[in-house]
Amino acid sequence: MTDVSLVLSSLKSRWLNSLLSVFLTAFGVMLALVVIQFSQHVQNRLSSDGQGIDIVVGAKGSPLQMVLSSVYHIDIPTGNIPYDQAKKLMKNPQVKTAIPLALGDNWKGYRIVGTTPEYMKHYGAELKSGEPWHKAFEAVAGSSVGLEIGESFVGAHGLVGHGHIHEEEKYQVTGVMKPIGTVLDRLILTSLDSVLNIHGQESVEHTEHDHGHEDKHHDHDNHEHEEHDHDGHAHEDEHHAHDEHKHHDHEERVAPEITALLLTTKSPIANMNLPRTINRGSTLQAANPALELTRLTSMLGLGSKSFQALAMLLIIIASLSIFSGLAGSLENRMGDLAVLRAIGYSKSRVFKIITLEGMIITVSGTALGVIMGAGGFLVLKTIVPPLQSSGAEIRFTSDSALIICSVLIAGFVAAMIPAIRAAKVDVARQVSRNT
Amino acid sequence: MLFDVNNVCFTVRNTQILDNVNLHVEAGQSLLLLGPSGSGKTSLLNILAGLSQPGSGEVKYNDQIYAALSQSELDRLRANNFGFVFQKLLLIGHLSVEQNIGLSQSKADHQRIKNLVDDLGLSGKEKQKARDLSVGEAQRVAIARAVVHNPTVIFADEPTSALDDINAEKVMNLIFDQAKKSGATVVAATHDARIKGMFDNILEIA
Ligand SMILES: Nc1ncnc2c1ncn2[C@@H]1O[C@H](COP(=O)(O)OP(=O)(O)OP(=O)(O)O)[C@@H](O)[C@H]1O
Ligand SMILES: [Mg+2]
Repeated sequence: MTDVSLVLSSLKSRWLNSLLSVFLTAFGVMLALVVIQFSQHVQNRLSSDGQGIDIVVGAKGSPLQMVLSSVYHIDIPTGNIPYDQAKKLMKNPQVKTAIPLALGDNWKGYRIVGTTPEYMKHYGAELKSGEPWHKAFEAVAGSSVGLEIGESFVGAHGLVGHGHIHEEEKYQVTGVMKPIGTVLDRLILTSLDSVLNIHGQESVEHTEHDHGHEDKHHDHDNHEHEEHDHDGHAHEDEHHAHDEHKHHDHEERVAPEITALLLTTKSPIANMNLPRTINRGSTLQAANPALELTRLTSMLGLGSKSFQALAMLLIIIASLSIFSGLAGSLENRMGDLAVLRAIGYSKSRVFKIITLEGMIITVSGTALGVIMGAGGFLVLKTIVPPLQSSGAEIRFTSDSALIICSVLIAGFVAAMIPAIRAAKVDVARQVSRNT
Repeated sequence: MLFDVNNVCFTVRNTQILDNVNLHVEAGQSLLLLGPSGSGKTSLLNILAGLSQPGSGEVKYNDQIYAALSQSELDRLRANNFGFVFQKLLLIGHLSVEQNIGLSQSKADHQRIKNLVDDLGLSGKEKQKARDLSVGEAQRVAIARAVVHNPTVIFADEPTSALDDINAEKVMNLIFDQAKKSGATVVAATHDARIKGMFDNILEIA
């Protein structure tokens, strides 16, 4: 008779209670792991997607919304800004680099972003194969978009789902990016003009009508066509994200608008001053993504903290149930334990037997919790599209290890108290008393 | 000298239960503690087995003074030398017959357990849970558990008090048979004067 089979038999004899404790432990572990995984994922993505962008400029509205929509591509934009105003800003001496973004369409939920090659350069994105876009309606797909070189596709209006389809204009995929673990993985990049033209706006780039291959290394600076210079106020109250479908008549094209500008500055002082100057104006809004990020994470942190508290509570309840299961059954088992002591089991062996009982529950509960946590995360991933599209995956971090360790310790402590009592059983009394 | 007990007194909650007990048992000489209910028989058995300490006096087993042994030495002494048939039997209910019998073996000797099961008329019950046994069966399992590891001393507390004449004799024969096979000494406690004649020494306590 080994101690392990003795313990297993005892657990089996009170299987309902054992099972309850196992499940309580498992739920606590699962919840804690999912919460940790989730918040770590969000944190990681937020910081890698926001890397190096000092200022975001867009239409007036919620600055957080603007940052989310243009840096993280999760929310809808606050509106559009006249291109020539953006252009003025791009030439501001305090600006080091400027990336214009024009949003408005998607393909199967992946946003089509009109921009300049500077965007890829900023995130250090490289092409896995193919070439960058050279002219309008050529596109480069992010690694998780699932488009192949040579494929053509049409954009659907809107930033998610299936809006009106721009059937007239087909995009051609000329390149696919390597996966880099940022938001670019799930974007389709194209020239500014592609997005502007499709929404009936004037071109802003020189290269728009160039067709020759000699143009491969053309200049991507956003030179303006003098003849398209508008005052920019004509569309002041049209703060839509290219959401009105315009005619594609070249004659009727309206002044170009973009959605946002991502800026890096030459000095930290500019980071402070430039937004202030911009916000003083009437049409543009500037925000510091780092500040908005802090606000967001503190909001998220609050949410994940309450989940963490719930997970903690569950783990405590699980420990208590292990404790009560052992302690409660102990009264009835004192005779058994006295027998063991009488026939020569040492105190420490009896202690180990009871502790082992608690630890078997704890360990199997933890294992089940890890499995359920992994499963839960996968389920969450399928029902929460942003998790899916942002490439959330299960990662075993030190935090998860910490959770598992603390659960094991909690289980051990819960088992220890009954185990001490068991080891101290009064053998003579148990074998001579009537009850 | 197997047991050497000198001037043992035992008091529980200001009540003197054992008053100056002296007892000398040679190896192989069975001993019966005879006395009415509440006279302190189980208490004395516990003291002889090292399960409780007397208030005063000295208990020696094979010239080892219990009071001089450490807790773990005493545990080991019991494990190696003693077998117990408790008054309430105290089988572990959720374990099977063979598991209960094998409890006192560090490594289950299946052949030995099988022989005992056959000897004690428990064939076919090996896998049955102890809690499902009849009282008579449980008693035989308790006897098997007490002798399985070939102890030097078999302690039996009230082994016959609930049994009729025939069964009382049967059970005592089982115990003595097993004791003979392993060369063990039987130390029993009872208020049942019927079995007086089976023992070499009798200590009457009042
Ligand atoms: N732990 C204890 N607490 C209180 N009283 C005790 C304790 N242990 C023994 N006693 C008392 O000591 C007396 C002797 O008890 P013991 O069990 O030794 O008697 P016994 O001779 O075995 O009786 P029985 O034949 O009924 O089993 C009893 O009166 C009992 O109430
Ligand atoms: Mg008694």
